[in-house]
Amino acid sequence: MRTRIFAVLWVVGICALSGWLITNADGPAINANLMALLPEGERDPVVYDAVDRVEKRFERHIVLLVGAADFEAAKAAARHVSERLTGSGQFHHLRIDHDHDLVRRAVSFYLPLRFQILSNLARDQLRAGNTAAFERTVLMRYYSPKSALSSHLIDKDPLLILPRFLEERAMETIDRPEMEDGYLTVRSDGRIYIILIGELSDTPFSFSLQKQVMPLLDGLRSELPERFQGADYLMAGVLPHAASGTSSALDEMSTVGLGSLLGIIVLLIAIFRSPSPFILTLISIALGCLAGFAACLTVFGEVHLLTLVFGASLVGISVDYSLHYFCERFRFSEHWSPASALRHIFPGITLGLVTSVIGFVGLFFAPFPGMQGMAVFSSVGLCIAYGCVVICYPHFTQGLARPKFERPLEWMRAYSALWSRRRNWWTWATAAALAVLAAFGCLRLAASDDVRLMQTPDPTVMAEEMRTRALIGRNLASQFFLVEGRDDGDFLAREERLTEKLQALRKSGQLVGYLAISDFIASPQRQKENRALLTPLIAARQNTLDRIAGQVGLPDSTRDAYVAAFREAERDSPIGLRQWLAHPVSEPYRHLWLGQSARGVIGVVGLRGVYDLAALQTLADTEPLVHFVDPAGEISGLFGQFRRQTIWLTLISYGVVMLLLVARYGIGGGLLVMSTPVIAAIASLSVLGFLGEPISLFNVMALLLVLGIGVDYALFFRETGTESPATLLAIALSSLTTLLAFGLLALSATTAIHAFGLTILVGILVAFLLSPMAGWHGGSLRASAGAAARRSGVTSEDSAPR
Amino acid sequence: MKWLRRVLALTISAFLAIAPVEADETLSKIHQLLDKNSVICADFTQNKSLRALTRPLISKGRLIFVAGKGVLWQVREPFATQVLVKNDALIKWNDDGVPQRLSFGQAPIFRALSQVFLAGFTGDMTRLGESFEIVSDVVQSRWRLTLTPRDPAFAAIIATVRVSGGRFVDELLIEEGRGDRTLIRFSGMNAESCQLGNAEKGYFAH
Repeated sequence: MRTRIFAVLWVVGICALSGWLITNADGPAINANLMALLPEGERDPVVYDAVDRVEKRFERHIVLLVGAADFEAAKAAARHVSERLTGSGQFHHLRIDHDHDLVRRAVSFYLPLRFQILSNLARDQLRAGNTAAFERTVLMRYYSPKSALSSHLIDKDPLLILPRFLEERAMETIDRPEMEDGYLTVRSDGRIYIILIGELSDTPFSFSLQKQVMPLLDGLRSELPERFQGADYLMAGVLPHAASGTSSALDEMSTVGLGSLLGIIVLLIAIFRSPSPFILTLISIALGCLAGFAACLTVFGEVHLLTLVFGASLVGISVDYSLHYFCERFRFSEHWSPASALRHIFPGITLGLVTSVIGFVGLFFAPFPGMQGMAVFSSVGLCIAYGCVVICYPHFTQGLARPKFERPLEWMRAYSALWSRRRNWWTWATAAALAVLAAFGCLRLAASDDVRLMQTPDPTVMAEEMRTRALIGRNLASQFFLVEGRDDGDFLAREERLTEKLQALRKSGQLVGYLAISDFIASPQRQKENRALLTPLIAARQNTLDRIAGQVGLPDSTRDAYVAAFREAERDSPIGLRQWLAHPVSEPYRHLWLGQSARGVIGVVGLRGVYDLAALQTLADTEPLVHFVDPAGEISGLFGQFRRQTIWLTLISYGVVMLLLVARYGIGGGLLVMSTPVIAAIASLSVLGFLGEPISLFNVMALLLVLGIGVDYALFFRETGTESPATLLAIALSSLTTLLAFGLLALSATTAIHAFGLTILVGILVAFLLSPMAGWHGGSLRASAGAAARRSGVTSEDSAPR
Repeated sequence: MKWLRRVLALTISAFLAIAPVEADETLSKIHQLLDKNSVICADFTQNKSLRALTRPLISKGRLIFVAGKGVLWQVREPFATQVLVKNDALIKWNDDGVPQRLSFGQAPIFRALSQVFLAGFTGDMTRLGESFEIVSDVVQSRWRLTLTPRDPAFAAIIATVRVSGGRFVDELLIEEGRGDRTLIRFSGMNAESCQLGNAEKGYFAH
């Protein structure tokens, strides 16, 4: 009885400790971002920090287009959407009304600077000494049917420097959206859309944010058409993708979880015809998962969704320990004692636990937060489940009846008999043919680490995103430059050097465009240079200003006032970046400025239409303090790097397990046990090859699991194989439950999970089928129970000394 | 004079409030009067008189309207240059022949004005009402529209636009505040003798 109390204490203790850990963590934070599985790149910390800020801002960015046939209805609907979303408290900001008078603000800021700003075209003309071209362009503007000329402007800027500058900026920045009545709008197919630009208060991958915002958005989608004359909205941003990814992952997880749970229950009841085995099994799985989750949360502060999927399924291996225990009951008809059953399986499951944990400890040392999470979750979960079997089971299964259902045992006996038959040339020929087939399949394998292929986007979300992007027009590429400077002026000067080279790339068609702060506020040096370029046009004899004035009829008084203003402005110091940032005119471009860094200041140069990544990388390599960032490419690179690292880790784990097995069983025995998982791994690789599925990190991770589970199967056979049908039944049941858990993952729409599931599916199936092989012993199958086994032939060529 | 404008404005708005149907009728009458063609050409003379300059800026050229494509303004004097006004953007050609696209995004005033032109050629007045208060007036086969911008930011730049014509648009007067005005006169407008050369077709392709 006292030991029974100890067992109860074990269960209650684990529950209490886990519960305490979970409640003491900052809420059960579950992260669904696939990128969060990745390590922090080995970047320069300044660059890393800047990229992190850019990406955080990017993922929180959200664009909504609220559209209706009628402008008034669209306005009302947009205001409604804005109020509801802002009311949720999940938005850092959500802009609906915009600067009414962008042009006037721009004029008010830049007009005093008209002697130190120049459009790129004007500067090129003047630098080349081509004042005739400059003059002609100005005159063309005076006479053109479509130029914004007003007396107010001509009085202040008869050389039309400001409108040329502003028009060039407008041409490079804004495409389709228009400012109407203080709203940013686009029109298409007889509808007018109002653009709402928002920033979420938290990452879109946060569960709590999704839970609050998504139902609101879904509600608005069904509510808008009725309330606002057929109004609707379109959305673009990371949020809808993240939400659809989460919901499909959750759906899959619950389907897979429920499927495997139901499968396990049905199996256990069908085989054992008694409630206690499956109740105890569920308790040990639940305790394992709970403890794994608590441990993960305590160590990392959050649990990744994929960790949960992977880890929970992995803890499903723990079911094996329970199954072995209960299958022992088949061995004895009368004199069943829990203690003897435990004694019989103890070496097998202990070795199984040790080999599994070795595999995961290897993962823990991978520089890879996602894998470390899985390692902690699974190791802790397995240990707890193992503990349940060893500590609790004997006290609750005293009167366990021997199942009356004999048939499964007979099937197993028949199957293991197949393995103990004499191996003739036919066996070897089949094996050789299979080996050739497997080799052929493996040769067809190709690796793919493209992160864009791993996360299969929801087609409806993607279509909506594409439509939104098409409506808004010009989009920035995912690649960008980071430019550093010792101070603001140094930053602007470096950026100008970069943009001059970007202009060259644009002329040669390698780039469509770029967006840089220095185009809106030139560096102090450039402001001085601009002024120097203008000086001869205004101050020289027979100058350009005089010729233009004569041609268009500019009064002398205006001309004199302009020259005087030019002279006076000479004393002005160049205007700085901070003044521009403080003015509303910079509002649409402020996101390019990241501000202070550990080395000075840092900012972003956005890119459009990148056709030549290599040329941009070369540019960054040749310009000091300029960095080219290609996030998707980098992540794909990381995936590849970790795929290779994981392959090594897997090989090392296989090696360590191998050494352990050799130490226990000798070289031949060790090789024999090891051949089960190795052949299983080769088989799944070759199936992937035949199916044309590329190998990614996730397949390799699955192979690691095939090792863990496959070795277990072989081990159990090796250790407890005397009464092989019971062991084989336990293995059959555990592989069935594992197949239920992982086989269902192969149906996942998420490429990563699918790859994972499929690899396991094939690997486990093969490992199960091969497991009796581990029982080959000293030339004969150790099994002595079945008559078939007794009839089995003795071969010496494949004998393995014990 | 201020009181007169106010009374006038009041009368007009009262009139519009009482008889909006009638206003729509004049618009549809204008629509009937206008020749509707898919291609129209004309010569134009633009007279821009700006307070800031001692004499008006006069330019001359030829204009081609192609339904669904836009209006191409080809200035011949004093400088050869051209501008294509499309539904959503202006396209200008540099000296080196490279087209530059300026969307109406930051300058919705251009869109409103291009609506006026397009309305003048197609007779479609429906979109015009979105940007302007319209006062219309038809005497026999002649018509006249007076347009006042609704958007205050827009009204600060353009006070009124007057368009008049018969079968075709004859004259367009843009009155900006502070004494600047642009008068465009069209002559020889017709649909029959309109031949698009390869160069013109090329411009419209943008």
